[in-house]
Amino acid sequence: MSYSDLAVSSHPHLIRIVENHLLNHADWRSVTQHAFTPRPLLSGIPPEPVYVDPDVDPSKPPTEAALEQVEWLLPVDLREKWSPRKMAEVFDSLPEGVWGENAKGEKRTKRMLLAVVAEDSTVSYYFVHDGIVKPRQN
Amino acid sequence: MPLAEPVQEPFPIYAVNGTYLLFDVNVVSHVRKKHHMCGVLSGTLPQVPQQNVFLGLPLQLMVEEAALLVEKGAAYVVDDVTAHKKGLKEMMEEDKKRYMDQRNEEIMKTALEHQAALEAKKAGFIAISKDKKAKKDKEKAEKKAAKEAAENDDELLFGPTKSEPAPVAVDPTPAEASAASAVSEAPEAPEASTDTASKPVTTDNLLLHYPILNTSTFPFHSPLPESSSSSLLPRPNPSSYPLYKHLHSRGYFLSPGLRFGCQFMAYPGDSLRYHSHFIANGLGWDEEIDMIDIVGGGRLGTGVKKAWMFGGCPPKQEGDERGEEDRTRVFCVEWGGF
Repeated sequence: MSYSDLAVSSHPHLIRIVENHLLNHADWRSVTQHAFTPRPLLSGIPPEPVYVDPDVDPSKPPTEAALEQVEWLLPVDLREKWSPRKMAEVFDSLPEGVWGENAKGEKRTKRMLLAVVAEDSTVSYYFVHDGIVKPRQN
Repeated sequence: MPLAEPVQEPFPIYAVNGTYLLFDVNVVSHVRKKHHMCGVLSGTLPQVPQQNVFLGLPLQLMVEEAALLVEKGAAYVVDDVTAHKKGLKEMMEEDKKRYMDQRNEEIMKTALEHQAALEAKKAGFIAISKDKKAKKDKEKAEKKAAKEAAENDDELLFGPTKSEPAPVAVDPTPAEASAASAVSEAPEAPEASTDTASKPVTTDNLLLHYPILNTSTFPFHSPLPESSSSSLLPRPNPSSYPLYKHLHSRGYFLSPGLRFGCQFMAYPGDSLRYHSHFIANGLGWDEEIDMIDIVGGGRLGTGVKKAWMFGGCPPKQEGDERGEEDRTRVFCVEWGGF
């Protein structure tokens, strides 16, 4: 039995499930809710960096900045439909200026984790970058 | 391999039944070098039409590639069927004769060059074998003298055993024979070469070289049509074309992605040098995509060490002077890893 449209479009339960998963399963800290439009978002700091820049030397230990890197999360339901416009609107709602630099010293593009919640409360995470970003394992 | 001839823009793209083809190898390399377009080689071997390992000309361009080339003014589209018929009809008797003469001249020239090369090679061999012969003759004379001296000392009974060096002495004979035959041939050779220079070339004394039809030479070049018919213009998918232009304008080489489950593969440089970075899908700005497809795409991309990309072009806003290729927004999806 799937959710009704109303249930899918009401986000509090998604936020709750993802927040719970982050805090109690993935061991994140400083998890905060943000009532942005069009979608509410979460931010938090993972126990260890979840995104390693492909240009960073993997043999070196992560820098202080990398350990304190705040990640943004967009909780969504698996049965939602998205479009480039919606994705762009969410990225545009993200605050400017907190994105730091990539390994080459350039201002890095925005990224967030898509936290996809399935019917059985499984949450899976996918990075979404706002723009052309070289993949990690190449 | 001769250097590629410079290609003049605009060059013709031949449209056959909705596919866009290039037949000239110079144009193919020009398009790859200057316009970062690889297309797909689609010509197979007539004897083994099923194989797809060795493919050659013609090069089939993606609709997006053809559209962008036309848009840039680097190329124009010609209907291949009418161009071919028109070209044949317009080729007057005189042109035909001139072409045939030119072709015969080329055949003759190539043949003579070939013959001259053969002669030079032959002359080289003769010189070598003459040297050898002189050496062997000297050796033989020495051996003979030694043998005679030995025979004078010994009884006839030991003749066979004493003739042990005989094989060595005999050895030069075949060489001698071949050298002799080469020498006997030698006077003929110059004759043959003078023959070919004076007499018209016939099929018995020469290897014939068939020239390849060069599509860029005059009668076969399809001129720019005066009125471009819009029915021929490539019409790429409006939802994926902006994405193509966006990536192409940022230096990516794109190739068709059907084999990899997407619309385009995006390579950061020439696809012979680099692995692709992205598997890309273009959508309309408001075109909906199921979340399960984003998840599946993210998995597909991560599974092949690439990023899955989707994107679209927002409609033009007032006061926004940017073109489609700059307005387009793209999003790269990778597995989160936890």
